[in-house]
Amino acid sequence: MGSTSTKIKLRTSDQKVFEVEKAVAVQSQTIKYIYENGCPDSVIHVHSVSGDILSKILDYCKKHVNSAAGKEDISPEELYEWDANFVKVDQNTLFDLILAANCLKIESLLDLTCQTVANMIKGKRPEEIRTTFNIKNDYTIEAEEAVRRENKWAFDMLGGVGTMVIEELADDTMSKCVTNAKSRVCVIAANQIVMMRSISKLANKKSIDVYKQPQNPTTPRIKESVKQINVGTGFIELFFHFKCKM
Amino acid sequence: MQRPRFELPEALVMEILSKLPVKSLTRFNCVCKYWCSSFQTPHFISNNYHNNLENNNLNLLLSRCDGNTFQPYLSQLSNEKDQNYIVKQNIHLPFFEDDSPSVYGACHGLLCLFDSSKDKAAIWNPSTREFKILPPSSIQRPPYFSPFEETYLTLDDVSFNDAAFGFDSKTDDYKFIRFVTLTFVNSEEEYAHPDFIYQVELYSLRSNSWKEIPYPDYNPNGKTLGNNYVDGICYWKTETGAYLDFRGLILSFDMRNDKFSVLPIPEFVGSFPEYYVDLLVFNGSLGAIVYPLQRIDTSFDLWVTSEGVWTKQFNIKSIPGVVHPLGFGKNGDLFLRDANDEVLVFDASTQELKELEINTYLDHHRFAISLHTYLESLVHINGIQEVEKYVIRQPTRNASNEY
Repeated sequence: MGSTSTKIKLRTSDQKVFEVEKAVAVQSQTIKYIYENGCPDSVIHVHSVSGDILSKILDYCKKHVNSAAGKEDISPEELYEWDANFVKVDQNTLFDLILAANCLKIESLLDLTCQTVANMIKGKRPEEIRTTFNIKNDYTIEAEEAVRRENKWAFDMLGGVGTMVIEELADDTMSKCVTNAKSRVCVIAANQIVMMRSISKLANKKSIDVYKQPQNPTTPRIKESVKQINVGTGFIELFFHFKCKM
Repeated sequence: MQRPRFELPEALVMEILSKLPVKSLTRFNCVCKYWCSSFQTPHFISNNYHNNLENNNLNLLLSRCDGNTFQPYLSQLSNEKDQNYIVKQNIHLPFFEDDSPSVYGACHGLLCLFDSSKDKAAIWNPSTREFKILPPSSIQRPPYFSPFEETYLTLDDVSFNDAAFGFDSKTDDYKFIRFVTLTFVNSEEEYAHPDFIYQVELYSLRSNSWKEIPYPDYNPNGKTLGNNYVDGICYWKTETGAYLDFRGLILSFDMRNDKFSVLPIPEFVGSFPEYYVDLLVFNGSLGAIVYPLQRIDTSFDLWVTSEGVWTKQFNIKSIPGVVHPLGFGKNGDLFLRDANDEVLVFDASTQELKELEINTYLDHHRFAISLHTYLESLVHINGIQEVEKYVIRQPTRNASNEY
């Protein structure tokens, strides 16, 4: 009886049973330990993982085991692509995967999922981060202001004259928005100022007004032609000029 | 992003955060007090640095001098996948006024900058933008009695040449070692013949103080490409023997016990004076790029040490023209300076030679252009945040998507 045909039975928190090849299952250090130190024929309980999540995790483990063993003809770039697609899931599923990868001790999956979340949040504002992780702000207003001032450069996108691409304007918030000292945003699309609003008002906007930037930047900008761009209708690329007069 | 159905445990949240760039972490200092203090713990700083090391997120700095203003500055380079390197930002260092600072490091994301003609030095974390000015040296400059002139000479000049910056793991301390040249002259004489006395001084960040180190038997001689510190030890090229009988040697200084030592340079290819041997740090070990002096096309051999044994790692054949290496960038790209003083990049995987298109041929002091790489880190150095008086950053039009 070859070791390749050895199967391990796993039972999830919602009582689903999975029969998996040993080589795949022992990608989890937790399962490996239980298998090697327990009765090899019994069913291993993975009580903190649901059936759906375990199913996804086993897909991951299988792909990686096969690729490493040369059973699948897949290049490192293709495996990287596969991993990138694997983590294209909703936030809750991603968090579930992180918890499960941690509990099952699958280091590469934990790295992958944590890095994915890191990439998603790296451009966000502190307020958004508090929402994502359900964090209470325990700073006083003055204390928070002081910390922001100390770390001012991390809020300035480019610290002065420059341009920034805003990749997406979501329905409820400006994802990669930048504020100047007065908490106003000035966004230019194709030489036109797209809008100028305080951040709090922005948050509730569904559409934005377009203003035309006059040739001479010292003259006040005029609401010459008002165009409405619908916010949240996908990918809008806008350029933002720090230098324009507020 | 939405409010989650449940909260991740703290340890996992920190695991995620440790994978963030320094700029994001700096911004998230104001999320809550716990996060702010967590980011300062040695454990978090170490995890974050380790992640950067794993992902090899190298940042590149080119030290150069403006051809019009003669001002020294650093160009920060970056490249997107499969694209050529571009200048993302130019960093001016008015702290050093008009003098071109020597750049040492990086060690754990920290660089050390100093002026060779004045006692001006600083440790810099370019990721956190922390700038620590070193106190002036407290080392006594001894009086010098010239036996030839039978009189005490006057100390005319103090200059600094070779140095190194690294980490002492025994005391968890960053140290900067500097070779000092004291020029003594007879002030009575009109055309005084100078006498030179040498010293070595060592700065410790932890104690913020200097101490003198006994001078070694060999003078360091010749620059290293980029960093000259690796794994607790600093290295300089040196030599021994008389003219026509030169033997190359490597002078080393162990940060952990403050002691000098010498290592031989093996006979890489034929005899020593016919080849350039440029020391550098490659993949976490001391290495050397060896290439012939007389040539039409240049062929490079890269040798690397592993536990004291030198082995030839690879060879780059015949790059057209006469070129000098500047060091390795990302993904094994070799930066070179050609006979026209333009900076080129040789991509070893595609065997392609590309011009950088940053007009270094217009620079002043082109022979002194150097490449430095560093990883991002959160390491604290008890300095101050960058101020325009010391550091000015000028992003270029290429800078975008700065999260």
